Amino acid sequence: MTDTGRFPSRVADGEMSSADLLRECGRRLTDANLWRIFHERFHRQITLYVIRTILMLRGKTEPALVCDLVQDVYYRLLKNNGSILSGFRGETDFSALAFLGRTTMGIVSDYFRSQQADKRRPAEIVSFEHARREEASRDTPADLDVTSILEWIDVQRLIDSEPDRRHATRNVLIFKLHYVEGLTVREISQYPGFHLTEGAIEVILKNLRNELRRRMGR
Amino acid sequence: MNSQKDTLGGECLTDDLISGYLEGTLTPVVKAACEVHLVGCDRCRVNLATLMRLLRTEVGRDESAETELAVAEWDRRIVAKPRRGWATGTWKRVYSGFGIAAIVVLAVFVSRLPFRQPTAEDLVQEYLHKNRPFNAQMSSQPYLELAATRNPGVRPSYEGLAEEMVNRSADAYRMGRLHLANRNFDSAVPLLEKASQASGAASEVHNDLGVAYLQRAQGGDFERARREFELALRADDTFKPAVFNLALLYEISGLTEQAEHQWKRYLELDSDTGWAEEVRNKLTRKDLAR
Repeated sequence: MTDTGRFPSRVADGEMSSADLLRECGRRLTDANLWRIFHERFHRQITLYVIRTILMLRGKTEPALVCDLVQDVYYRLLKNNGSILSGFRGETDFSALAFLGRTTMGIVSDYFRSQQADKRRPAEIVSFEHARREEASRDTPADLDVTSILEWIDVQRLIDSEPDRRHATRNVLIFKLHYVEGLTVREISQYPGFHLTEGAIEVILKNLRNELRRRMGR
Repeated sequence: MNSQKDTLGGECLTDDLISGYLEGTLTPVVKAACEVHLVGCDRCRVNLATLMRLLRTEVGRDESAETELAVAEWDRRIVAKPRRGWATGTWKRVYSGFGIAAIVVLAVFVSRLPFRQPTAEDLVQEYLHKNRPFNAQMSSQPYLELAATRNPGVRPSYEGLAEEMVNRSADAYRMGRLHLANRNFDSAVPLLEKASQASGAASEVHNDLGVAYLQRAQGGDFERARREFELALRADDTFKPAVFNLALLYEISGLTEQAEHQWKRYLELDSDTGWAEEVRNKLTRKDLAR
């Protein structure tokens, strides 16, 4: 088990592990008691994941839509006699949550993708003038932000310049997760894979920022 | 966007690798290879960041409020509202369990709707909707007049259906039903016998095995048929097809009084289907014959 205090175990002593629970639910689809445990342990989490994915993709949620999508998640889990549940290969609480998170993300993305497809009108005719205006509006200075600059930076040189040679690539990844993907220091520090405190991440970011400044001649 | 992918990349990371990376379960070599790829591949890094945002343990105030609203909406939809004063944690859990069970049942139901792949039983029903093979009544058999279906042209292809049944991994009972519906009694009987040997076999299974014996009508088959119909009625004494078939068996055996008793019993259970109309006609003819 690699679950840390950041992702505390959701299982009390003597209870079935989350990974086993997923597999058993897949094998015994009509066992109401097993599904009651599943519901207690994961229903709120699935609902939260649906809400977060909607917020990431669209920015606004409604309880009715959230419920519909949560129901779709259950359908996906039960589909083909619960094969994705019974075939789950993880062993930890974290892997169970990651599995449910990915399943939820797939459902919500599919929903919005199909909505977009429905909205798209066939043979929509756009004038050349309109298309030119659209194109021009995309090149506003606001779009040329730090993200674009970072894309342009030679990542290999940044890694080579990192004083912490052993963790150079990891540190540049953290730098990009923070500055390009917009994750906060706190969010990054939650994950056991990085194995870093908030303070350590702050130091990594500061060192790489200084290195960039030095190379840009400031 | 993926400007570095060709020089640093390799193949994109699978979902399992991404969650393994976040969880810290990868070996140092795989972890290092993942980091090299993630630094260079925008798509994989976006996937990683999205998963990190999704799984983060901290729940914002807005997220929490929206979750509460959605859970309340879910409870309102799925779970029957408990009476005032009963909304304890235990009862909430019990009702939530029912909710999940309802979804499972709904999923099974939805999987049987026409837009999904038909089940083995759907294929048997399709056959029975176009064809009434004999006087007796199989379990869940829709009513058709016997004479109306004697045109072989309306029958679906039996061989094609049997192959489809095998493709759908039909169990012994369903395969037996298909053979029975096609009057292939020698194939039906061993399959239905196998299904009836399962502990707690349902009335439906005993009834269909009884029909197979009744229709095969070889030495001792009538007695076997009667036993099966009685077993069906022992499991469910209101199981209409078994009452119907028991009456038919008595009628064929010349036990008129017992037959009449069972026909009347049948009409007490079923008064408005085509089967009931057929029974009424039989009883009327009997009255005229007296």
